[in-house]
Amino acid sequence: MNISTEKQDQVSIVSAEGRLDAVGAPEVENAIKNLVREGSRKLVFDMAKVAYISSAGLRCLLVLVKTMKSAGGTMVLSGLVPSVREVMAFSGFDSILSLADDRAAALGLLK
Amino acid sequence: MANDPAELARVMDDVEARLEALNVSPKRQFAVRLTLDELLSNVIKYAYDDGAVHQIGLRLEPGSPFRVTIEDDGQPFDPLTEAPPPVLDGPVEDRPIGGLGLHILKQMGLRMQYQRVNNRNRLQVEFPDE
Repeated sequence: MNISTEKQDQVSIVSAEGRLDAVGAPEVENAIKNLVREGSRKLVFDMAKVAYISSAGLRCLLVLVKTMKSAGGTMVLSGLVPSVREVMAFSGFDSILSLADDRAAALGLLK
Repeated sequence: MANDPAELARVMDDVEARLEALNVSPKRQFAVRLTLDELLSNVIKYAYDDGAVHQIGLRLEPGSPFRVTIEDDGQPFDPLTEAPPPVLDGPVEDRPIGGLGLHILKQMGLRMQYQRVNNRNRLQVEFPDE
């Protein structure tokens, strides 16, 4: 999994490329938890290059949403590819995660 | 394959290469990866409590229907009836995690059949034609 982080105004943007599975999920979880620990309270997780997600990946997103929420912040997921979005819908996670079509829309939600 | 998470990653890459060689569509490849990922990790995590190395059997039949069979000699477990139901509604804070992988597979319209044969669990999965 390739993970990169940038900051735009007050928003941290994390992009990942690869598979959000039992191997990739802990890497993303660590990266985002570190940002929350360092004080990030508005965060976009850009998933446009995440081609695959398993239940291990969904678990990691759930943990991160809870972490961010208990810190008083907000995390938005952006740019999900259709197959990943389908898994989200099957799991019912689409109703509890904030999803945006792309990065710009996600930033708009965090304004 | 052995009941070892590191082995799972290797097998998945191997399966992906074979599906690629068979010109299986990206959509089907995604579904097969997800199916094996969820089912094999469940076997590795829950089927054994003796700490020993066990062999898990895996067969791909790329016909019509496209079929995958997994066999293990672990504790008897019928994922179609014995898996804990996932809790999918309610606030984020209250959601326990469990049975999620199997729930997703069922939602994907796969046909799953479980048998206990010669002290082994055999789970056969058929993928809907595209």
